[in-house]
Amino acid sequence: MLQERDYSTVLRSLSPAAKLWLAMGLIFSLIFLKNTYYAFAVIAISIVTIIREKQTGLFKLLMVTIVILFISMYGIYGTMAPNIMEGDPVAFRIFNLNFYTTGIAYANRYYLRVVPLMCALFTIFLSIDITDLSVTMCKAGIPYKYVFTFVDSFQVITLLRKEMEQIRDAQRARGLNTEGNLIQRFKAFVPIIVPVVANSIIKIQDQAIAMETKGFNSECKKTLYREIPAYKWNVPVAAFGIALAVFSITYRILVALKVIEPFISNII
Amino acid sequence: MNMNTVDSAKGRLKGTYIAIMIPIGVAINYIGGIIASSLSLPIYLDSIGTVIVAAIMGPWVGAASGALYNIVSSLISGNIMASMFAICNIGSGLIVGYMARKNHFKSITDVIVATVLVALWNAITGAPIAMVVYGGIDGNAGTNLMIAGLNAIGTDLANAAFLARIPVNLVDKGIASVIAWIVYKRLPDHLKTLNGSTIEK
Repeated sequence: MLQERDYSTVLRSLSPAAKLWLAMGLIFSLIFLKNTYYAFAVIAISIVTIIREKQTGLFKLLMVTIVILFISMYGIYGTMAPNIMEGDPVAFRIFNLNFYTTGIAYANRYYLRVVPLMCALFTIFLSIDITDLSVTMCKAGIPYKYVFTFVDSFQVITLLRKEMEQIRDAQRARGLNTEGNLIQRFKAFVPIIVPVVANSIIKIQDQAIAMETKGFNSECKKTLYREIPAYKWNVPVAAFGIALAVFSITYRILVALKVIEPFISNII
Repeated sequence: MNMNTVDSAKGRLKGTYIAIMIPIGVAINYIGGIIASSLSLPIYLDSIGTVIVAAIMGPWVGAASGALYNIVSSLISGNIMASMFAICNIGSGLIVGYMARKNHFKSITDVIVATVLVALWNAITGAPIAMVVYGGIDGNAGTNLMIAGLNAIGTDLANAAFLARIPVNLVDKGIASVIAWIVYKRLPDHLKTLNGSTIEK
């Protein structure tokens, strides 16, 4: 049975191709424009979109990474970034550690490039239907075998994750200690990963036979059973993504060649 | 007369095995990373799949699996800049794959040699990538603590980023190589030759 797709919001209704062009525009603009206000605007728009898309549960996982990066980057770079010179002004002190303004600026440079990208692309990629993406890739002329390998990766991750959770619960029921000191946690890793790996490798021969009987290697042209519906915002969003990318690259080249002065302040 | 069977390591069926093994390698890498973070381990453990696929299927399939893992995980997390770490995983796949193809992935000594080579490659390539993407540190608490420690005793950030990755990668890739070796040793002979090696009787 075909999975019913959800087109309840603008983001979900967009075609994968339009989303990929938009993602490309955002990547180039965040890397090349290097502007703090723009970075914060992208973060704010992404968070609003995530709330509207009702994906806050998954976003919490991403937030953990963002917080770890924040603590690591500002903690390490704020106190000992390579650009800190003797006599640089101290912004504040925590636990007898001096946090220098130059160090915080160094942290800003990387943090405000990585985090807006994570927020924006997480929002975009999360809304892409993998089957729609495979249809788009096939229509773009990418060979079926490559498309299958790419799409299958997402499906195998889901399957193996479920299997891992079952094995972990089973091992815990047998008395495996997944908490405690570092050595105990290291010891807990092997009884979980080895059955997951062994189970997946054991199945490959059966899978190969099953795929062969379904004509995976047949040389006739593969047909697609899905059509991606047209949506009025597909073309404007794709055009916006391309324009944003072209503008960002041109701007960076012109600034580098000193043809123009940076009219967007390089705060990051 | 030689007959091609479903166990054949050559011909079109090898393509089917490749199409199955690359996603499995990607998924094992991803699950390894999830388990490591859920157990709060200070290492990555996201190259087990690459090493296993390289040992079974050969260097280029292993490298493809490693590269695809970094692309897929960066798509899932949204951190597209992290896909540059694919260079580390490609190297891991090539090193282990060529060793397995030349029948140098059979004893524990081979595994130690593979671990050292892979760990060095990951430290050499991982440090400059981390400098470009994150300024030196990355999302791993163990590496970051070592970088902070080395930095505090006067090592500059670029050197600290490299030196901190050596012990972390030795442990990380050591675990990956041992698990891959255990799995590879127990494979039936027809699967062991998928990497292009010959079975020595």
